[in-house]
Amino acid sequence: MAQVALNKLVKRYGSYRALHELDMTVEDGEFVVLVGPSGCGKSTLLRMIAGLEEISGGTISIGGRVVNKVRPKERDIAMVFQSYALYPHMTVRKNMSFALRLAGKPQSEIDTAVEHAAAILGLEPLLDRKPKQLSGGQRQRVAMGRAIVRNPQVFLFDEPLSNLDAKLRVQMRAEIKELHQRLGATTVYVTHDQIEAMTMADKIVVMRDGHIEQVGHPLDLYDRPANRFVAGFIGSPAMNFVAGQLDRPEGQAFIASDGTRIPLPLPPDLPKDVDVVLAIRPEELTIVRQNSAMAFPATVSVVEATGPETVVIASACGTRLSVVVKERSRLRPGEMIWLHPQQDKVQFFEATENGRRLSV
Amino acid sequence: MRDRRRTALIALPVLILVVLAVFPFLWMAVSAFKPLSQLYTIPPRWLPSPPTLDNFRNVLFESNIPRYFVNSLIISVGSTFLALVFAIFAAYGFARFDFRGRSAALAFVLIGQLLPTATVIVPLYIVLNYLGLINTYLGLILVYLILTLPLSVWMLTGYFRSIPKELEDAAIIDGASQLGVLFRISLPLVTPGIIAVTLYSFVATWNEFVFALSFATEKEMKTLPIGLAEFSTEFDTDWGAVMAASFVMTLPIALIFLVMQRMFVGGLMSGATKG
Repeated sequence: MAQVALNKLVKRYGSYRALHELDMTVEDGEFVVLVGPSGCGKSTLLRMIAGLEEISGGTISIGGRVVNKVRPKERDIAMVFQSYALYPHMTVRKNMSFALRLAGKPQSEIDTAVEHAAAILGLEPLLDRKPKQLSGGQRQRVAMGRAIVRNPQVFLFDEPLSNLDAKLRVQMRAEIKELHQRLGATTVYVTHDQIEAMTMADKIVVMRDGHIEQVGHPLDLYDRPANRFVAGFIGSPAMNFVAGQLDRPEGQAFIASDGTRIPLPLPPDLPKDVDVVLAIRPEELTIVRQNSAMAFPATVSVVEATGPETVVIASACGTRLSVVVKERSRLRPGEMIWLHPQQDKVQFFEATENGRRLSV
Repeated sequence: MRDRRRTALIALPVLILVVLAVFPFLWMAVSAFKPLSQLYTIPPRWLPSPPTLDNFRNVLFESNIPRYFVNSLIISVGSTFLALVFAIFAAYGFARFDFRGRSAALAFVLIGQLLPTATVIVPLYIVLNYLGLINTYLGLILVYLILTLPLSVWMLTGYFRSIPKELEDAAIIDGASQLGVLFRISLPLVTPGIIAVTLYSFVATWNEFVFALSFATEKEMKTLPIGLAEFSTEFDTDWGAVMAASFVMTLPIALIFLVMQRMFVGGLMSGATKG
């Protein structure tokens, strides 16, 4: 088990900077998820930790040892790839034992390790099959088995679930989490799926354009996003944003850019005379049928019933807002409604594209 | 009804092609068993009656064909093996490593293939002569590399490129060296490509005429295609012997194709779509 630490880590491709001086620590035994849109550098970062990409600047240490110049096999890591990367010409058993055989371990030790990993993952009946005879979920398990067999200090996962169908993904998500709880190994997990990040991580690292936007516990990121990007990225349906101004003289309302007035007690420490963006989560809006002192008008556009909850997409304030309600809704498109924000949940961000959160 | 008409439309051209391709081969096989008198009859006799083994006896025991057969075998196997070894390393390098001048080098490999054979005979003769390699197995083996290596490199490069990079990454993390990755992971996965290259190289060198004619002038070094031509003299051609020798010469190729046919076709397909 080991800590993974990045110190001013830089990756350059020619003159292009893929990663900008990243600092981050993955504590011993922690499950850290790197999440961000495609092209944000999360996979590059993972491959640098693995030793598959050269480091252009800064350092990576694993277990207190700087590994910049250490070859992958000496870093004591194991990696699970998006495509599983199983060796097609080898049986499951051979796939799982490949690393141990290369390391010249005695056969008895190899057999024990493979059987043990197979037992954990329920792969015993499949040990003598070839990868092409396995289903997607089974291949995924073999890829994990190959990692477990080596008993590494650090597990690296590169979007391991994105090739699976939705149902299997949920199942494997739980299995990976369970595996981590059982083995307790330091884990770095890359995904573009914020739900995976939210459900699996001890700590989430949100990345964009080679920068780390925010690091924190999943619910902290959800409740107190550092900027508009994180606010919009974490959470599904995404957080609602309404551009506008504070109604300063009165201090009791937010005026959306289309003129809609949202009555709110404004926090006193907001900066004056700047454009701001009001943000509120879909489940923090309530639908009311009649106008009230604290509501603003909206028109229903789409109603999506998912079973346990209903997502109502409504036009309001010159934009589209999503509202999640627990009860079944009889609303029809075109219907006039009023939305009532939970006042203590409303947040404000600077109006720039990646505006910081204004203190609330 | 439509299906049957369509089948006919496909079957007819295929049939014509098959006849065109197979008839000379069959005629050769049949003629090899005919006595001399029946080779020239008009109208032609389709089947020899009675069949004779005289032509084969002539070719196998009274000519140099067995020696030429051995020469051809040594040279073809040798050059195919060398082509394979060089092509595997070159193609893997082209497919996997990013280095300065890679595409230029790959293009030059092919340009070598485009030169007309006749233009390189004199330079090659001078070089081989200087090295004392005229009339040696090694000389022809090396010359044949010029013939087969470029296309072999290109074919294998396509096959290596079709292997996902992640497989090799996984092997490297598992502790394999770069050579270990090549031999334990990539090479087994390009088996169809290896077979395709082997067949191509073997057939090309087995049939080669011009280089063999120029660089193997002594009787002990000549190859089968040259031996075949020797049955034609200024005044006469012993067609029966030519047919029998051709039959002998065709056998190894036919055998290899029969054994490897399925893999060869599979190999060509994946090379075509992913190369």
